[in-house]
Amino acid sequence: MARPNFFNENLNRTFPFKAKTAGIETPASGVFTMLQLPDDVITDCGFIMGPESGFEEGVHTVYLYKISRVSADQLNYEFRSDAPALAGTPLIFTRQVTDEDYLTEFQESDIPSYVPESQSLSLSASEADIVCGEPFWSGYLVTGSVSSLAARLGVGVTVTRGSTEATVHEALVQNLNNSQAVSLNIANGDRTRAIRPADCPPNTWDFVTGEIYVIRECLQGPIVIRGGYNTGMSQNGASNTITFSAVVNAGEGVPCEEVKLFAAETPPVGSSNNLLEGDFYCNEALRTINGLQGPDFTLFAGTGVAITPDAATNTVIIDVNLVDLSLCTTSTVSVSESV
Amino acid sequence: MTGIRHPEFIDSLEDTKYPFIPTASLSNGADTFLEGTFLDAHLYAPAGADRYYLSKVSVTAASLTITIGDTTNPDRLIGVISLPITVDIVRLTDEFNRPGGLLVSEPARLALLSAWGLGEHRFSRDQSEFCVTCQVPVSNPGVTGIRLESGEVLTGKIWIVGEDGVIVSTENVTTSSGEVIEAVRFDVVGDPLFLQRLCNPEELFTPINPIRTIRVVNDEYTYDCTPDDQGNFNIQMNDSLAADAALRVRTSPEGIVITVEGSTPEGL
Repeated sequence: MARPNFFNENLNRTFPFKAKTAGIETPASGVFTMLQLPDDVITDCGFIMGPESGFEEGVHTVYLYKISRVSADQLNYEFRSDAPALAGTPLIFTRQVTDEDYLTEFQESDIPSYVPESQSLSLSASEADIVCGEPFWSGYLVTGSVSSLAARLGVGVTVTRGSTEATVHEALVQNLNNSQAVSLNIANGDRTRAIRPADCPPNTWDFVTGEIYVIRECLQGPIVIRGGYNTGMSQNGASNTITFSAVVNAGEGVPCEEVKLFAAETPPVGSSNNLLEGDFYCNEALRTINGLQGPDFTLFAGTGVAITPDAATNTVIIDVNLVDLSLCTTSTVSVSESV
Repeated sequence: MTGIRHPEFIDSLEDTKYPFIPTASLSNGADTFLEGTFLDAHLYAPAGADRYYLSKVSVTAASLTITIGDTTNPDRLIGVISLPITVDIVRLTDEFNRPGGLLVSEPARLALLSAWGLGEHRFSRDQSEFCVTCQVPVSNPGVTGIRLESGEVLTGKIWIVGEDGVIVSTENVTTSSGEVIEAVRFDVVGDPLFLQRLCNPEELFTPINPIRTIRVVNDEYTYDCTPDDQGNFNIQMNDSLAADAALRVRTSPEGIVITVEGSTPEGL
């Protein structure tokens, strides 16, 4: 609870640290341990844990990890948290020995960065890691007398926390973990790719199949969503909802050609057509003969016709030889075709 | 008489109404908070408004639930504590389980609430409003999450993945004001080989090598016949040259019959 002399009061009590985690049996002068941290070193602080910090109240804490006299003129105050995502991401505040009392400083940690998924797939390689999102955490620090602290710590001296000391009061931490949508990222699962019979050469593609193909990472700010082929979209402001529906001819209608999963997608190597999944067009495979469907198809030889299969050459010989028919002796008709 | 000249921050609040405002009665007529039941508070609901107050305490045999309201929603945040009480921090979350603050107390102080008896104990704003110092306005960052039909809320780094015939991409579009912006595009194009995908887990799908061409060989003539746009192939009698041709091609449900009309010799 802020009062006019709030900072002054804090010079004489453990705040902003939890009671009994600092300020215990502080020596009148000279170097100290973190448990003995003088009350007047820090008078106030506060921290905001970012949406990707992984911080959980009641489980994780924020603490002063160390104070270092890094030079004759400068001291560093390093805060850390035991939230897993914050390991190796300290907040370091800096003071000059000549700084006045109650100086306030704001600091932000690094912003989460990662190797793009697309880079590992070599689809849209980018050289640098993507930096995307909000800082892991941020905070402010109000210090007491820096010169008094400098008088206790010689150049090069560091006071480091053990395991439980200098824990920041819970109510000084604002936890925004999982409370924001940080970025939108776009990807596509693989299409069903044609497989060939065991006795046929298999389809091969010049990229790895069966993957999740990353299209775009880290879309931020105002997002525009657009319905493409066969995609109906409706927006309801009252319920704050967007509804997608698959409707033939909706959006941009029916596509004239296949839509690629990613820009560099190609048909299988050596493909005779441009079908991305490696199959055949409807007019490239016999689906019916005279309207009769397969997979088995029967030819009957009626009177005057002989049908002879030759499996070795995939041949059916249809011989209209007029056998069993009454023939004029002058007839020379004999038509034979093989298919 | 001796006293502590500089009490610790929390200790200094033990006998005050803080974190409630000084004018809060802390009583609904039936149930009364003792000063010091709560020692500190920090309230920052992601979609919250202002003027937070403790709106309800619900006691069951297994738990104690504290509900925080604001000017727009009496159930803005809740904190659940299991009985017996062993914690000194009441973690508050909103309806989507996102963190929204905390109440600082001690197990012995919280235990006083569980003694109120089973049921709901309601309070109005003038009875239990929190100090403005405890209320942190959260900036409105726009979309805080994407809620699915199932009720699940996605936050952080959100992935949209197109599958089973849905393809997601981005493209630049020009707005009416001439600004070029990157839009997320959804295409519903189907998965032509979905039957293969459905059958594969059951190992019911056997790949085939379909007939693609019928090659007709007639002495020195060879014809390669391909199906039409629908994959159909027709075998029919060509009667354009001879109206009285004896060859017949008949399609039956069992197959195609190729025959020659004519008479058979007597006795056959």
